Amino acid sequence: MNDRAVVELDGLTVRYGRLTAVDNVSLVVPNGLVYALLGRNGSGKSSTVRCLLGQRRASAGGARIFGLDAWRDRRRVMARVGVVPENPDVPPTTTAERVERFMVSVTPRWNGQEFFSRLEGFGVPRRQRFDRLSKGQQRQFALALALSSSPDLLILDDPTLGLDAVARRDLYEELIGDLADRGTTVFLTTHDLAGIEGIADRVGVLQDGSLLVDEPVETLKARFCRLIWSETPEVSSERIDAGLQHLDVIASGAAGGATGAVVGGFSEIGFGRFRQEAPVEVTWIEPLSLEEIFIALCGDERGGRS
Amino acid sequence: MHHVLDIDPAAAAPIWRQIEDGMRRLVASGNLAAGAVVPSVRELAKALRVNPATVSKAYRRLTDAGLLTVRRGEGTFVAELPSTVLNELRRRLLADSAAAYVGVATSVGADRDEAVWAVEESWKTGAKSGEGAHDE
Amino acid sequence: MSSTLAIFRRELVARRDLLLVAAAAAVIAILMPLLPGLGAYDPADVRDVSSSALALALGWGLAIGLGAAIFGSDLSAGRLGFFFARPVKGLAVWVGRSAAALALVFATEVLVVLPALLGGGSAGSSLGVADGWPLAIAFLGVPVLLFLAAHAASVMVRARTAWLFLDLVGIVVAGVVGWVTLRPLLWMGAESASWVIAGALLAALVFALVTGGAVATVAGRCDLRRTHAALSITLWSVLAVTIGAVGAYAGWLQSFKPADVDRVELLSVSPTGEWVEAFGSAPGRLDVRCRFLISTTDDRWLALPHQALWSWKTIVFSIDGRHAAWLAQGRGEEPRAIRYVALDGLELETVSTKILVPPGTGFELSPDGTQMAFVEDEILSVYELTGERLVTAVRLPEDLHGSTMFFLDGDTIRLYGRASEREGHAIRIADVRVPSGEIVRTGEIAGPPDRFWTAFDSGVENMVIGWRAEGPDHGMRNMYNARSGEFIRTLAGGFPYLLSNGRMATLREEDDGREWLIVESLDGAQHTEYDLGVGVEAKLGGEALPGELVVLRLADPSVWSEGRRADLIDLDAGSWRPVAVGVDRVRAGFRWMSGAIGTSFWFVDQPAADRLLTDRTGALVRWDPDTGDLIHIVGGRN
Repeated sequence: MNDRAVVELDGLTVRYGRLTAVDNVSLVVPNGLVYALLGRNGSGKSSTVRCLLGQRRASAGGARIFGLDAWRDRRRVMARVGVVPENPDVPPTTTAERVERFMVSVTPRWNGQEFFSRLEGFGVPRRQRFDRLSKGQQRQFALALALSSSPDLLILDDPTLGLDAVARRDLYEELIGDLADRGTTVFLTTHDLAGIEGIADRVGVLQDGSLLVDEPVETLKARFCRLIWSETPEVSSERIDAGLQHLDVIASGAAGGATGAVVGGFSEIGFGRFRQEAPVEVTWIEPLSLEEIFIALCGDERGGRS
Repeated sequence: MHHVLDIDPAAAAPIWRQIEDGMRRLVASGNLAAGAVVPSVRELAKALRVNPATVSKAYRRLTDAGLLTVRRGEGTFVAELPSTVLNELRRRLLADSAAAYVGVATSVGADRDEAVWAVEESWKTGAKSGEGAHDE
Repeated sequence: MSSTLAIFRRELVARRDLLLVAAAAAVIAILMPLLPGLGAYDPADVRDVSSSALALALGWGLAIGLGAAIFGSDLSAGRLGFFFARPVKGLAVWVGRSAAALALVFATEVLVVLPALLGGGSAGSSLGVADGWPLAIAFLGVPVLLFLAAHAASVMVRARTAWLFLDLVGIVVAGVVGWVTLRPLLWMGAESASWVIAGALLAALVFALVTGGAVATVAGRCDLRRTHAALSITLWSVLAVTIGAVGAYAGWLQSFKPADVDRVELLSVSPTGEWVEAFGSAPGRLDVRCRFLISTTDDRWLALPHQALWSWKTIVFSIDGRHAAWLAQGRGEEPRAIRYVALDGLELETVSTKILVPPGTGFELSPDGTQMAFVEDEILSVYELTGERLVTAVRLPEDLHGSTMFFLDGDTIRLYGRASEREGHAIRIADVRVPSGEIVRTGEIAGPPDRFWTAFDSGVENMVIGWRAEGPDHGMRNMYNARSGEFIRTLAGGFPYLLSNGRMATLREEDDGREWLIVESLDGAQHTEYDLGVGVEAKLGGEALPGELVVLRLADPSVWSEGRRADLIDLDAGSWRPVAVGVDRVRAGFRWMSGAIGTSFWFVDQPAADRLLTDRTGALVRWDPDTGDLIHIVGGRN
């Protein structure tokens, strides 16, 4: 076990009856890292987060935070963790003032001043009922709640879901500010791939409960790209396919006279071998955004021809 | 300042490199004069919507390379660079851009004369707007 | 502040608007007397009643609502995540929220009732409920139970996992077991024990619900399905254990031996005095009474089945005192089977027969205990016990339907029936020959009153009828020939004890409080009076020795607690000798019967039975005339 690991999933498996929602997932989030867990709906993200929050017991394997078991030691863990859940679960009729009074007696390291000043920055009145705030304000409320206890780990479950562009920007700014000030470790799940592209250090992709990818954003972006070349009759499609194997092709297809392929294993050496097998003229090597990489990995067809 | 940095998270280059290169360009072009204050890591990260660690990394490299200096309690500033360093910076930027341009030209099958002609045409229009930018 | 307290405070503050509803209800209650149509009543009463009723309605409703909301709907709506994302114990969440809900319920009740209370009313009396326990139960106990039940039910219904099957089975089984545990106690009329067991069952339920709820929250956390699973497993296993314990206790209450008994209530005595049928209560068993057949001469005993209080009949002994028979337990309108026991053997063994007697019908044993007979409306049936063989069944004429009936001897059954109104309700007397079934009419008594009691002497030669009528005839006593019905004479004086040798004893109290014992012959020829003293509250025992009658009097009329002294008076010589001090009579010496001529009792020559007394400690004792000792039979602990 890594001493510096803040979050550690070790063969985590979650089963609901006969359905396996999370299948033997292992990953490590070291101190100070921003980790983004991605996946389509139903891929097992929520179950993973619930295990981390100590709200659900793993069927097999373990989830550890600060080296403590997330289920058994939930109380000790939560003293150092800030949580922004997918659906804000602050009691609907509660106000910021009342929540603050509650948090004082319950959370060590709670800073009420910081909480109120964060809320003030977003124009959230102290005496307003939680269910009368806008969606964006509710998320900011939840984030302020999580941040004001100086957590060592932030767990955000789809924090920008349903927010408009302005609210999203505000949320990210708040998060980045905290990262700049305290270097908090962050574990988040999201569908806003463009938004976290610049923020996440490391990314994991879940599909049908299994972890497809678990690597730094930089290396992921380095090995994924789109090749576009012009077809020549001398080079057959079989040779092209054979060449593309060196680059771990994801999908290939034609578009307006030119032909292209999305590859997941791009390297200089591999590219050289491709050129040897299929000496076509490559007009473009295009980098892919995180969103495009995700779609390539988790889209309906993988390795098929469009 | 930031839109001049033009960071694209989806681009091939890692973000820290994009920040670093953008800063170098700004310093080399004179948009960032010596002694000018540079946004804090926090401000720039928020503005670019990127991880502060990324900005930190770029700033560290630039500081190590001597382009930026950190004055405790005051902030980060563009360093006083001797003109040789500035010139070297300019030369490197020009060389990199030229290499990229030559790559594009050869890939469309242009020959040397065509390539030079295109540069000269571009120079005529670009010089005017370049002067304007210099006055900022 | 501990986290439990913090959660408690938070929940309370968050829901304090509910108290506004309570305040509004209090106002409504105060204004109630102003409603049209209620002007006729005392306004204070109207306020009391309406505030109590509103308080209970609001309190109970709130208990159910909050119980269903804070763990059912909140859980399924994902609102518990807020608490579990904080460093608080799962138990603190459950205790804090539940305590806050109950505090709100109680506060609501108090608020609504307060104005009326301040106005001098009483929450209890206004509901027709005594202050104290019932009040506490209604205002405190019921809301707690409703809250816990709603909590459990809402989790079960919302989760709808397969554990719901266990829940349904559990509810049914728990209900059945609880009822089966409680019913015998209710049946036998053990009121205090019934309350205790009912209370224990409810306490078991509350305990199981509390444990189940707490464990469910701690183990299930934010997951509705897991919460349900934890709830079901915990609730039913704890309930099984606790109800099992209560059932075991209830069983223990009802199983004790004569040696444990302290308080004895004698029911009947065998003619030879060798056996008694008695209720016994034991210390620590609350007010449960077991029925025993106890030997007065050695330590043999038999436990008799519990009977429902309202359908209870004593044992029937045969005249020779060697057999006893009774009816087995039955339900509702089912006929009951005869069970009997031979009292001679070293071991007492109950024999069950298949002879069936309709419920509510009595039966009689023949003098030697080999036969039994009963009358059901128009049929008199006689059975032989050991072979379970019907000896004879006789269809009775209309005026003998439902007769009062007993065996005269082994071959004859005496019947006393009543003629129709047209015939003046005359008492018809007949003998039935066994086994031929021949009915022989022997006479009738004309003009008896509508309601009366009858007494027979041991030889069934004479009978006394006592009037129980309103008006001047009440208390009149007439003696008749028991066979022909011929009027003999009217008796003066008190209740006649028909003794042996044609004698009769009565007690008379004069206006100055002096009490007299009058002994006379049945034809009235001989007449002796004995001065018993003033204010002695004399009672007659029986003929403890042939020709000697037990008289019990207060030892010192000015000190009532001293108890009675028993003396024996020789009816021939007129001399007295002491028996014992600090004793009291037991009801021995006659048997009850019922039938067409109402309640009758039959004096039987049973000197041995007449030597039974109760001593100061309440024990049943036997007076030994040779040694003068009181020999302990059963009961009498302090």
